[in-house]
Amino acid sequence: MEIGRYSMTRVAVAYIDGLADPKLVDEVMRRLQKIDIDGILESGYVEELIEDHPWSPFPQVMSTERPDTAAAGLLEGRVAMLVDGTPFALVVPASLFTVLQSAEDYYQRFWISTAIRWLRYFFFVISLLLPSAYVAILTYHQEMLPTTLLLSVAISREEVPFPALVEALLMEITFEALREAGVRLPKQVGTAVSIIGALVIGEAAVSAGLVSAPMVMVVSLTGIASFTIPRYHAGFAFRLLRFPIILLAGTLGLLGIMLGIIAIVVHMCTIRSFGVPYLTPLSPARGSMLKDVLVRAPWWMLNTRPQPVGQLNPHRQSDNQRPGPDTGGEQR
Amino acid sequence: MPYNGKITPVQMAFLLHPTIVATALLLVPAMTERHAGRDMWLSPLWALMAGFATLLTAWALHRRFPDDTPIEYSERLVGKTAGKIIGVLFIFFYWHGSGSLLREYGEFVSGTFLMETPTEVIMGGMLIIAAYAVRGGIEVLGRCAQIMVPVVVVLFMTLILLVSRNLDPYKLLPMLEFGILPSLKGSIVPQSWFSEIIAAAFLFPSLTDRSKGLRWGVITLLFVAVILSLTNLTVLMLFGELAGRLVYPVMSAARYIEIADFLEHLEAIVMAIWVFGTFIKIVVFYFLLVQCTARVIGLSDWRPIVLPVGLLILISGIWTAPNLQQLVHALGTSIVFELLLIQLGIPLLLLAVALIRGKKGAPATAK
Repeated sequence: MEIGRYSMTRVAVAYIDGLADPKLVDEVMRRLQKIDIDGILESGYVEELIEDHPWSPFPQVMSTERPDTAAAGLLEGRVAMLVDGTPFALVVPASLFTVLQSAEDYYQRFWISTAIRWLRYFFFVISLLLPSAYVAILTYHQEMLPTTLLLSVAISREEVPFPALVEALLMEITFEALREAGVRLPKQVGTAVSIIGALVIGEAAVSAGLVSAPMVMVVSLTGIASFTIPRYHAGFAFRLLRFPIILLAGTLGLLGIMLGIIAIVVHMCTIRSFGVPYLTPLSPARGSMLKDVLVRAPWWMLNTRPQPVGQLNPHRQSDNQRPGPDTGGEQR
Repeated sequence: MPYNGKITPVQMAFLLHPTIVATALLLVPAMTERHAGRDMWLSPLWALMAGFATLLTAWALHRRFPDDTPIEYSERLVGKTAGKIIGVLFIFFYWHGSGSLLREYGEFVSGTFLMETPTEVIMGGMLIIAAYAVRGGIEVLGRCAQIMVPVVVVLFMTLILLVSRNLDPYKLLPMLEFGILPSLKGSIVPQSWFSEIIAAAFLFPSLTDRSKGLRWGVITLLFVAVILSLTNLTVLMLFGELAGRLVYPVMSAARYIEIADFLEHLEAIVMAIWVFGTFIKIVVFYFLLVQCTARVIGLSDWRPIVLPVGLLILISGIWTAPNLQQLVHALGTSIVFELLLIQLGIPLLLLAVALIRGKKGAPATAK
């Protein structure tokens, strides 16, 4: 299919016949055909033009640069779109958990994958909430910190002229700027920027008494946490949402954070990606799918494709494949 | 006439559970203690009866009119005028209910966490988010509940577990010192809370699997009774008969937690339980209020009235009582009768009419 009046960009729609729901394929085709634009230079154009909820900050299309992730999506009954000139494949329908799972989860032993997955969920929450929790606790709920910790934080904040809210915003914005600067520059210069930024500015700002050392730690931890989200595009949404939550934390304390969380949850419950609710296996709950979300069950337990995407052909392998001395291996 | 959207019976249970428990957790233990004394932990179990009565009435009516909410079948049962009056009663009831609920939330937050923030701001912030959720319709509510309620339950259990070190079972003795009567008296307030299960009557028509509605309703009630009884037990074993003097016993219980010198002052957990739970409760009441209003007036689309109704709820929240003490007093006295009358009395009346007139709904369109 060619999209774009002038660019005539070639767009390929890939799916596996018999696995992908024909209705889904039709819907993808319909949405692609509706696009009327002078040029498509990158798959991001397509992404924005076929979304269900264009105002939402969350990506409702999974865009991946890894062939294996795209192939796994196809095997689950999803539909992929390839745009000429873009190294990303767009895979629909997406959900929050397709965004938080990475391909390696399925290549390692399931214990390790489960642990890593939990680590990732934890840091996902950290990346969203840590700075705001810090601001809220320091501004409104000092009594929640143990006394010794409170004292050491208070000592480090003694010379800082700003309230915690301003400090947090300042550092977060600086960090975002550093990251942005690093992305645009060639590799060698990029490293230099991060060294200047992280070491020089961070160290100097603390010793100059402009920001407190705990705040630098909080911000860098948040930064690291935000890079644990496997899909770069999804990471953006949460990095962006951090700022309103920091503001809420600075005005309403922990209550503000909770209101922020509720608002985000409500929003995620509202949106759908190609007819599939965004929080799918969790809510609406599908018990059989939770074993691939809360943990990563071993392969011999993952008999069914994720529902409702793979409902056309729900079984991806035969049952009872649990290996063991009596079911496989050398016969004596 | 469902609300363009379906929820699963499990989601209904998740919606109804906080509808009863959320506010019952904080204020009701103290109110129960005043009447029941040491037997307060029995009261929720007695109160369960009111819950079952309401649920069974709602279910019996639902079986007769499988596609209708109480607003519609009351019109069909007692005639147009009387039906409208009942509808208006429901509107005012849910208006007052959501208002006082919102006020309870506002008073709690401004009384324990944000002493200097005006209550209106706290209530308003919650309402804006609630309005957003309500506009999403019943499916969104169901999904939100399914995410939040498990979190709330886990947090609550954690809280009980952490407090358990300080519990003294001997404070329960002597059991039933003055016979069974005090615990029955104490159950009057929880009874009015349990009758809030009538919200199920509004949710039954939009279930994906209607046959399981009753089952999950019963499960909800039992679970609510267990949680409330557990709360009362904990509070009692912790404070003894002092519990009645505290405004928020559960909150005070959380202050007891101190583990490894690091986990102390976990009031934030209580606030999380409370805010998430109340959010679901407010959203359910708000949604029902919007639905009742739209149905009684006969609007074809209910979405445009979501925001105006929200504003009215805020006003009702400000008007409902001049301060917390009066609100608590009202909740323990006159509101009990209001709740029981509207939520149990009217459905029973409707059921009686239905039985006498032997009227069935239109040939059931249920599959």
